[in-house]
Amino acid sequence: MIRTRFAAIAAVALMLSLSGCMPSDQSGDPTSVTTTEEGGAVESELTWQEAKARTLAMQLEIAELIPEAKVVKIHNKKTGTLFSCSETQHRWKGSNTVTLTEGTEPEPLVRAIEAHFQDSRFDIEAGIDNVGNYEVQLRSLNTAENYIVAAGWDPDTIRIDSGSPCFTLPEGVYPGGDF
Amino acid sequence: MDFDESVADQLMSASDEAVAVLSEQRGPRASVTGEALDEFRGPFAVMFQRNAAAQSAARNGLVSALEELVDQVRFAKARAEEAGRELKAEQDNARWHLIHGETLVPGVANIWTRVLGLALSHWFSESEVRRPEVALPPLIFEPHVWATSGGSGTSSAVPDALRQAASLVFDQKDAAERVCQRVVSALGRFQASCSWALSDVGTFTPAVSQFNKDDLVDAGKLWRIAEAFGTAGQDTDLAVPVELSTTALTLAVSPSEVPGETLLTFLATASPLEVEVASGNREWVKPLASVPLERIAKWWAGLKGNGPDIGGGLDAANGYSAQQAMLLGAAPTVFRNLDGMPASARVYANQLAVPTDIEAAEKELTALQEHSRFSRADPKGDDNRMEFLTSEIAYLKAVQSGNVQLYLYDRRRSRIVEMIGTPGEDTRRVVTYVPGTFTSLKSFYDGGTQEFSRYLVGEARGTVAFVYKDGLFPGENQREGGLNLRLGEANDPERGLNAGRQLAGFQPGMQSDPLLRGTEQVGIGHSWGYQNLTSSEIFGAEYEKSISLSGAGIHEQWVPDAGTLYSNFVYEDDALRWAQLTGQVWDGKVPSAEEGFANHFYARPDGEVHPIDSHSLIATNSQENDEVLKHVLNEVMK
Repeated sequence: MIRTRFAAIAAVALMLSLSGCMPSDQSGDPTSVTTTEEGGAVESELTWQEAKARTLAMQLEIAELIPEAKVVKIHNKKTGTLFSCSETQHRWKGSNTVTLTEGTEPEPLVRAIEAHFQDSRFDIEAGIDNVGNYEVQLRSLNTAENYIVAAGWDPDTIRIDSGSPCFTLPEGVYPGGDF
Repeated sequence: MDFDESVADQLMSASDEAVAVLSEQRGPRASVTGEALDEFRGPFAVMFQRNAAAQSAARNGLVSALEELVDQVRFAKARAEEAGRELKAEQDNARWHLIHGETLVPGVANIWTRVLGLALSHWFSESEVRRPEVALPPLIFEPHVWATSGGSGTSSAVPDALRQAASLVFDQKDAAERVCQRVVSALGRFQASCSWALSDVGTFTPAVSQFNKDDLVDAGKLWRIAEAFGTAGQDTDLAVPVELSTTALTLAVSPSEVPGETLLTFLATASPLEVEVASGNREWVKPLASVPLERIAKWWAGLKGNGPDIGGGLDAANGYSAQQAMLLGAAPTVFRNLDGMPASARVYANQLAVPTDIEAAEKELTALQEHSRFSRADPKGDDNRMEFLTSEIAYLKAVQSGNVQLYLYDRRRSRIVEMIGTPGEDTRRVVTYVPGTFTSLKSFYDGGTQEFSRYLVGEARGTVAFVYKDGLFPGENQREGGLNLRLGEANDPERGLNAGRQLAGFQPGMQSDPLLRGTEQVGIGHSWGYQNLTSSEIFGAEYEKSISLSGAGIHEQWVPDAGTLYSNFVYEDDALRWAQLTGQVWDGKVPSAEEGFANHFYARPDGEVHPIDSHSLIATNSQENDEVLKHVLNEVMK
């Protein structure tokens, strides 16, 4: 039995090694490579500060689509984390939480946001997430930019999780910690 | 020849020389011993005195034995000469009878035999002279003792006097060993070439071996003691008595004899100098291995009251007492990986300890760079190793500067646990993230392995994460950080159990931190890492939430915990999932086939099938995986 199990796993390993795909810690993410290619020169010239600012601004733009009367507070979280896109590039990930007036149903608001972005620069995916909430994902057609909008973890909240396009970090900047 | 007189002469000569050397050593030995003992106080002084007396008695015993040996060999040689003369006369007599035609002589059975036989090598066996005996008495020496559990109070000594004594003992040991070895060799030849003499000298070789070994141990201990006093008196005249804590001295000389509690008591009040003295012996903290981690935690917390918090920098931020800060600064390698220490203190100790690791990595890197200048071929993968070391140095410099927090690091054993986030009063949950097959130290150096946990800590308020890799992972290339196709290891139940036991040990150590105790425990494992996680439950680890990212398999001994929420996130086209569906992985005991798991299957956004890539993608941070990341975050936060 061990022999057959080994054969199956070894086959996976062989394919991994031959295909050049590495485990999660490695940077050969084909999506990022595609992104880099498609993003072209504009992406590589982007600084992390610009990428973050643009993403924060877009988060806010999405949040402000919710009718003001139903909003108690918009928290555009100022710090996020950096993730690698490839061996040389990173992207910024952050979030925004909108606190709604008590008793406001988040789903119609999420659907309204989905409707707003129809035929935009984003590809839209929607469905029920793993905790039963209606979720809309806005995926840039050209870059790694990405927003996921759904009800938040606390009652009467909507959460917007974001990811910026890829950019090149200056040499010597350690990508850990808050950005 | 059954008695070779020249061999007997060699034995007597070697023995005489040994007697002379051993006897001549008496005076100088007594002199330096007396001088060393003159101002030497404390349990080690008592032991040294006893051991010196025992060695003196042993020396007397050896000298007497050697003198006796010479007398016996001399006597045996005389007997051999006597036998030789007698046999010669008999031979001459037989030859005379032969010449005169008398072939039969009363008392001589065969003249031919006598004439010819006595000319052969073993003729002494024909002698009627009584065979001499060469026998040594039992040589039993009093054992030397250097064991003490320390005790309170102080010891004192003149460092220079101890050093001189130690040097002399070393030198005398070398000289004694040389001459004694000659005797041993000569005895061997004597037994082979003088078998007519009845020899019983078996006690000599083990006795001289013991004698020289005792000298070596005594000299070594005395040198360590001298070094300890020398360190204690580093700013003073080392030709005058220096005083020193007896426990510090014991830790520097015989640490294994010190009870763990005694060491804790010592550390609670030790001065920086005393720590320096004790740490002169690399084994000085061995007694801590027997101290339960709960006791370590209580002891460390108790040190809070020993002094005011020190101001400035990291120390003030972490609120260490002066004694705590001194211990972390003086002996970071002791505390960097010690279970029972609060997480932040371990991180700080690692920050202080990594320069040693950086130095080791730089040294190896320089050597490899030098070597590569002369050799273009790279049969050993030195290029990859150099890349590995370069990454390690950069990573450890980030540790040194505080950008990376190491909770555990042991580069030789491929052990690393990086902490992300800061334990505090608001910490509500701890994520233990175990990466998958092939993960190496280099995976950490490059930073990708930690990204998932960074994201969780960044987005889930009150979260501290530990990215865990305690030992060699399946398929890991330890030297270069790449892949080794030892993938059978990922499917090896015994290996899985051992890794689970190790991870189960991590949890109580981490939870001994008052800031992490009672927090929600979330375990996340990718691929083989999830096997590691579930196996830790077999050995008592507990998680409120257990999250599989394409978990490889589950050990047959595992049973689900009623209080744990189990979930599995996997891409539908994951190659491992297809292997699992055919029952070829972990005999079919896999997350997707287990009741009680909430399974979440994902299609690739592009609608295509990427069996290999999808297995890795589940634990990455690319845009394609953003939905999974968000859902894992949902799972953590629900």
